[in-house]
Amino acid sequence: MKRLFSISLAAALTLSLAGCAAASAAPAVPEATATPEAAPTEAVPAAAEFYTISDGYSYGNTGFNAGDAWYSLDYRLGYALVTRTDYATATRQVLCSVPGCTHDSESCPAWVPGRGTGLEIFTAGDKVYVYHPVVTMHYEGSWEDFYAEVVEPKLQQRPDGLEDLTEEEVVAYYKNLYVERSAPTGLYCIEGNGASRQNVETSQNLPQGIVCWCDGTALYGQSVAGTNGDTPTGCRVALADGSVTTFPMLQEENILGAQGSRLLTAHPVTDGPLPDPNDVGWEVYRGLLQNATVEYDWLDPVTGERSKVLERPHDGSTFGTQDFLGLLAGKLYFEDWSPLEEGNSQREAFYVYDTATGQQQDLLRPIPDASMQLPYGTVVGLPDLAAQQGQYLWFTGYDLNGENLAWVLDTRSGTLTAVEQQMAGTQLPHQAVLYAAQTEDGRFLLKTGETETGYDYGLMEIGAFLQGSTDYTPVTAAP
Amino acid sequence: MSLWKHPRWMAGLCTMAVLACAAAPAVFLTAVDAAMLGRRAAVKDAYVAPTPSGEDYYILRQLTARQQQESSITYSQVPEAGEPQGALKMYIGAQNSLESMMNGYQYRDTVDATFQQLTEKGVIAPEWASWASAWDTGSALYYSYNGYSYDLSVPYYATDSLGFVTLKRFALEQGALYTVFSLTMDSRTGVVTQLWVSAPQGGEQSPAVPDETSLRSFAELAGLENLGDWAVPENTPYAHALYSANGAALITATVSPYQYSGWADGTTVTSDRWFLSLSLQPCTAEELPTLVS
Repeated sequence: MKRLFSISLAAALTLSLAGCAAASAAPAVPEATATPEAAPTEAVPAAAEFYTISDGYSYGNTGFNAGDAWYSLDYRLGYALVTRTDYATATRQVLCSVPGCTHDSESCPAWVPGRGTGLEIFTAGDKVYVYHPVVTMHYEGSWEDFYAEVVEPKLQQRPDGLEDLTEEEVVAYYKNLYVERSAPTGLYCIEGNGASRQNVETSQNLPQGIVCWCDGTALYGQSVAGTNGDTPTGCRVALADGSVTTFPMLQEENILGAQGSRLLTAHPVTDGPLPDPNDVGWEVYRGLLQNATVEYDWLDPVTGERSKVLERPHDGSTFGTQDFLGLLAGKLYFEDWSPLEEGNSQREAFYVYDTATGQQQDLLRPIPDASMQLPYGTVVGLPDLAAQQGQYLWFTGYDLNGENLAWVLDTRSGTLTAVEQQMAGTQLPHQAVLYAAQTEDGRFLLKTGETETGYDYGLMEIGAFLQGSTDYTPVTAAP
Repeated sequence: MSLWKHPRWMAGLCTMAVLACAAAPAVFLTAVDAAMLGRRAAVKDAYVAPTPSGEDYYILRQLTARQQQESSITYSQVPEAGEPQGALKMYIGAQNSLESMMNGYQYRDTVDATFQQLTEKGVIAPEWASWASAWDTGSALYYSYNGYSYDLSVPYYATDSLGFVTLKRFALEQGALYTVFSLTMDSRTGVVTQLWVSAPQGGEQSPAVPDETSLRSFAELAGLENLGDWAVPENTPYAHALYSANGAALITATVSPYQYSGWADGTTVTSDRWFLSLSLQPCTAEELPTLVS
């Protein structure tokens, strides 16, 4: 037994030693570093054709040409109604097909509260949209706060125009203003020709005057004006869900127009980046701009690709593009300013730069009437309209007798026709009939008269109009 | 056989067992050593020197914070979720016209020393420093529209709420006031972030322009040389520029003729001059412009 005991002890000792040796594990193998996951590439939607939805000089638009009809706002006291002027039947109806609707409350699809500040009406697909930005006089507070702050004092002392209303009506008026002033940015989407409406809120609040172009699925614009050394951010608002995404832009760049799948932008090209004049002073800032040129580019916001259209000397104005009047049918419209003595300048001509040929061509040289302006060369409407071919250009002007003048230039024939037809019912002594839209079948939709709340419209064949006819087809209210 | 009957065998076996046990540790250790020594084992999560970024440098953080005050896409009185880090709650900019700046007579030496340093380091040519520092000791006074008179032999300064100090010297050209230099520095570190100097137009020859070496010295003076990747950006419209992708920082220099126009006694005064503009500013890779064809 003792022998067995000692042998087993020796065996146990040896085995444990062997076990120790084996226990020293194989050297640590480093973990294979995980390859970073490839960032999922977003499916980039093919951009459809761009069209302009803002006419540039009001924040918003005065109307949108959808090819078969003209969409505009009818302004009432404290609210506005979306209306559709049908070219074929020459009727204007409120865009509401809810039976028995009195068009004076939220339940009406065409009813938009407030003064209509900054609204942009446009169509995309078969829907009618009204983009409503955050208004400049944004109010952050409840209706009760607004009532105490604003409405009560106004009830005591009625502002002009509201003296004849009952108290209830005044409160209702201010309630509508409150709704407009407190609303976040959104898109009213009216479907089914006025059957229903939903409000799509955007994911970020955007102020007035930002988004001016649409490609059928989204709105495009820039965050701030490109000036004073600022670098704006391009923004894109999806129509489906209001989500806001951004794309980068250059220093002091401004979007001026859009065509095809690209935006037309302009930015100054300088030897060094422009500082903020508030930091360094205007003298320094202007000194740096003196040697700058302005480059017009096509920018594809989806890919970020740019290609140069043309380069011109900086004219010293805030954006450097004071003489740019609009983009239409692939042509950039400019005024030609030539410097005179004593730092003044004089307008010599209207001319176009054709991006297709790279050629410059005079439209009107010299300018027949010194007051002639091309208010906005771009057509606000769908991209494939006849109006987008840019055959007819409307100029406005004035003379010292107080007459408000208008001219139509047929760019194909070169004929300039002064508009003799006068608007009816105007407060000013003379006001030439003004342009609203051009139809697909060769007629103008014209503002033929002024009313208390807006305009009367009429349609006329273009040729007849240019001959001086006053035989309008009046637009009547639809039953 | 029974071991007990052979005591010598027994003794021998015991001795061998003892010797074996005594030697076992040495054998074991040698075997383990042989297995371990000379084998390379990679370390999990080895240390990698970090790439410097703009965030690591105080001066770039300050410049970025100041720049963020400008363009902002949102209009909202309530700060939205996801506001950029470092965004200031409030920013008060500096004034920049003589009438709203402060008399900085006590900083004349600071200004001279700064220009001296810029010249010594080769950032700007000595002629620019001498134009800038040609203090008019003839007690020239400028009478402003607000009724006050300003001594033009001293610098004037203004500050913003981030601590950037802008120092300017003004002078008279045919009776009209113009800015001779504008120098912006960070108050904590003394780093020059923006320099503008105006020089009279002597002849056709342009005064010296800071070249790449000068711009690198400028980066060094700003304490940013350790970003390590300062290089002339490709395809840039800027005549003289240096860009660091790590720090998202851009240094540019321009020398250009310009025409100064001012107002004196009811008449316009124009004067052909040269300016030098040197600046350090934040610039992300997307913002860096490239020449477009």
